[in-house]
Amino acid sequence: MVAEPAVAEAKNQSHSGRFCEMFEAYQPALRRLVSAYMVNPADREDLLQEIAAGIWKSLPGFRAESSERTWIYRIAHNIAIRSSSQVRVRSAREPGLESSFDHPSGDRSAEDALLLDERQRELMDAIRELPATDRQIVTLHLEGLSAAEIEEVTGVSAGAIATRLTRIRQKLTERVQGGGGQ
Amino acid sequence: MNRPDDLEQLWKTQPVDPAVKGEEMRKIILKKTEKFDRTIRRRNIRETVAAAMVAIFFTYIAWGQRNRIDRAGSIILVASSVWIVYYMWRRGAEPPDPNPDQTLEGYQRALVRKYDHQIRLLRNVKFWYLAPMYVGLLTVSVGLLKERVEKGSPIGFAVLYPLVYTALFAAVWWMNEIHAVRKLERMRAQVTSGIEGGETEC
Repeated sequence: MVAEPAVAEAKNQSHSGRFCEMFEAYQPALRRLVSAYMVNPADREDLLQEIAAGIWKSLPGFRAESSERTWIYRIAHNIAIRSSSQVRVRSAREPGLESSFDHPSGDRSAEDALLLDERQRELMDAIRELPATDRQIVTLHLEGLSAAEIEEVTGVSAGAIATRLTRIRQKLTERVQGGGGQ
Repeated sequence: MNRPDDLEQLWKTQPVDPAVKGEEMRKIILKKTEKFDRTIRRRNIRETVAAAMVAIFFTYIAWGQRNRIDRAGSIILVASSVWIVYYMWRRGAEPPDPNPDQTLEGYQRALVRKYDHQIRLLRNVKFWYLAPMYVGLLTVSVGLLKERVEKGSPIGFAVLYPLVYTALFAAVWWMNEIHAVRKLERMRAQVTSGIEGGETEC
């Protein structure tokens, strides 16, 4: 029985190691995903932590029946939906709570940077206004997932995904090109 | 699928919050989980201790009470506090959050079931929490009033006392059944609008 703590320790280390690897690999995509659900920076950070906690808890049950990528996105979107339903209710009672994204301008020329910021802001606003399923489909699509992978995450058939994407993409393009509200 | 390169580029190049190391995030979530578990444990202990104190106090009152109505009220209060603790531990425990490793539709339906359970629990607060205690307190108050009238003592306190706890119970009822239920119903509506594919307001 002496080996048991050592086995448990090794398991724990592999759990931690795997989590850290996964989190670091998918962090940029997860940060883009939380921006599609939350405007307020503090809410975005909270949501990212909730998603990380969801991945941490679910990791021992990951059996590689689905790809690591679709598995992570499924967890992330589901937690984001739960969390955003709570934040939206809170925001409705506390107007002005949400603040806009703090866009760094980088090394682009000021005018280009402003234009790009404006278009990105429009895109993110338009995505946040979509119904949950549409939002999930389009963000997965923009992350580069195939229709089959999106089906695996959402449960929506590949045919329905294609139809919805045409409509959503048109809506988003109009919004970004129009550069104005609805 | 036809890719909207411009949209994809805008999406991929959007500024995001600064990255954190995986190890740092692991420490943050473990700390948060421990804090949450500690809060729940402390809340459960606090509620059990409060119920135990009520039970002990009214057992003592019932024991030394000659007035039958007061004694009956005290016994009801003791039974109520035992019942409330039993209900909270056995039936009142919040269902865990649904497993996030499932399709969006499955997860949303599980989330709606969880909200429905919480709403049902809050709507029943008047039956399993407030009513038994209220009946006990009311019985004690009737006994007190009767005793004062029989002794010819002033009845001011005996009349004021029920008014105070009635107001308190009304506030607890409002907080649970009106305020908290409305909040949960709004959260439920946000989730179901996603299932039904309707537009959600931002």
